[in-house]
Amino acid sequence: MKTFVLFAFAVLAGASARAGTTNWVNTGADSSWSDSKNWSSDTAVISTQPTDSVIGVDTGTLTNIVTALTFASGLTGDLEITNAGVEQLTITSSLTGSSNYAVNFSLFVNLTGTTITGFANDLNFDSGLSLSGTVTANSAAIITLGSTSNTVVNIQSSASHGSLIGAGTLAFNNTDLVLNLSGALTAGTSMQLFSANSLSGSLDSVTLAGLYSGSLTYGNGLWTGTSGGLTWNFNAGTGMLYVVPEPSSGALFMTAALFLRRRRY
Amino acid sequence: MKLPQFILLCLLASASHRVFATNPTTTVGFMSYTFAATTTATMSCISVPLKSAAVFSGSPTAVGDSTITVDIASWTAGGFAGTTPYYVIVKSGAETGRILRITANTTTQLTVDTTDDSPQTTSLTTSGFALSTSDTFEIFPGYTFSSFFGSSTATIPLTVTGTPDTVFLWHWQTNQFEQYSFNTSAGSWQKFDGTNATNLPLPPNATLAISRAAGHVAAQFIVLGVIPTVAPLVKTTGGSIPRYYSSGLPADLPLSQLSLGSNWKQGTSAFNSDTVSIYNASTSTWNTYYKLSTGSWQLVGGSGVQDSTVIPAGSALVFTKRTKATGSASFLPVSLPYTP
Repeated sequence: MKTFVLFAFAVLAGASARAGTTNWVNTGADSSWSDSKNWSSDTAVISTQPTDSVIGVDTGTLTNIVTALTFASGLTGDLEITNAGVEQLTITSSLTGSSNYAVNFSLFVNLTGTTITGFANDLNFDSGLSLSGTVTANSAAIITLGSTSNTVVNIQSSASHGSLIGAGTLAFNNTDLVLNLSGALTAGTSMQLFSANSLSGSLDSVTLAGLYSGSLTYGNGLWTGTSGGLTWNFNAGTGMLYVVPEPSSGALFMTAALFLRRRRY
Repeated sequence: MKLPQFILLCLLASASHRVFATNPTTTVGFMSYTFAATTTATMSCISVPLKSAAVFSGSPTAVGDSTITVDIASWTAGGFAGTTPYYVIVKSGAETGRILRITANTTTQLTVDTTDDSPQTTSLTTSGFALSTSDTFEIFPGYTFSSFFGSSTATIPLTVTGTPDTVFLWHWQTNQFEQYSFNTSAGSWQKFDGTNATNLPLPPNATLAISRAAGHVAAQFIVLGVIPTVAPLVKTTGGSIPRYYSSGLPADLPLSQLSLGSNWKQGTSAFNSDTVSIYNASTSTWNTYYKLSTGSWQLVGGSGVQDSTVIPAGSALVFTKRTKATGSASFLPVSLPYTP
């Protein structure tokens, strides 16, 4: 359903899909890649260092979808991708970089089943990130989820949900985590939302949205709350979400689940 | 423009507005939203600058992080936290123009949501930005889907049969527009996932996008309300996160007269400046403007000074700040298009 919402807005906003590869050309003027077709191609390649190391998305549309976004290894310094106003960026297949530089996304990014490869320096999602499907990252990637906007994990079911898996380091930088549920969950469900060789940092908040609502509170290493007759427990140290029965029986279940689960770090 | 003489019919593609009554403390009027018959799919973005009349006006006797106490009040406990949403609007002092949702109340105390629909809270006692006991505030009821658009096929002015008109409401937590329409079988407003939205609050600063399929007849609805007398305060936490905000412009306003306070960053391009975006229904895109250090407004991707560009009454606006901000620095006072 979420896809439908985005799709509807994309159509009405005039965005159009276009096959092919678009190569970044540094105009040196305003560092903008303003034509919307540049952000609706199959593959967008950034191979020339922008004059001020900033690449702007100024299409005037909310939805800007690329299948693959590639930062070439020959880039000479760190880069920032930002927006003029409303623009978000959706990457549906691959996000590729190298160890030569860091990339900071200063706009809201939607990753849908994306494979992140090549990064070994900071990959910052400073202005919000939405995760749909399993997003995998190479084991050297150092990924930071920022504090300016929410990190949204879209959850349809225990078998179909957003996740970010496999990074070398995944850091929560006082992140506000939103679990956006479009499907009902049943007690006894658990799912891995995040994993990395090193999972660090702290969350500022964990909130339920969509079919469920409410905020989880932090205590004893867990973010915990009740909504929809279920108890929700998120462990930021392991990246696991547990949905268990009401507190009386849930407490027992959680104890067992936490006992059985081997700590990841 | 002085408010008492403020009689205006403005065409937004949609919105017109007229003051029809006034008294020493409240000026009321209406906004008429007109949607032309469609030959192709169309999208309109609107705001709701007019608010319902206040049900309480006074000053706090005590202020906490998220509480306002009025010793002499005799409110019904929980009465402001039921199905109908209620809001506080601060009318004087450092927080003038701030609007806060009431989440609970006793007979003498209000608890309010201090997130301002953002990921961060700003306490009512923030140093230099505190609500004081000498300030005034009002309580007013907000709209829900049913109270704003209507609650039945007969009363909803939009197309609800066939391919129904769709209302998109920006959801700040998920950073996306969520989709609602009226389900004639169920007799209720519903979110795209089927949940009942009849009593879902429409935040006073809500940005509404209304999508209409081809072949729909013209539609119009009229909103009665109080003309704002204080400049609205919009919270933007910065970091290039757009803040969809749509309150406070019940009349046309040229960009040259748009004042956003000392926290507004001017620069040399849209990517090192704060920006304001206005939806352009004819191109189905958002036009984004930034302000040069010389003080003139520029259109992203355009050329030339845009100071004479008019923000139409009832427009949806999007503010994007580059730098992260907290506390009082995260609030922008949006100038009114008239002198109250």
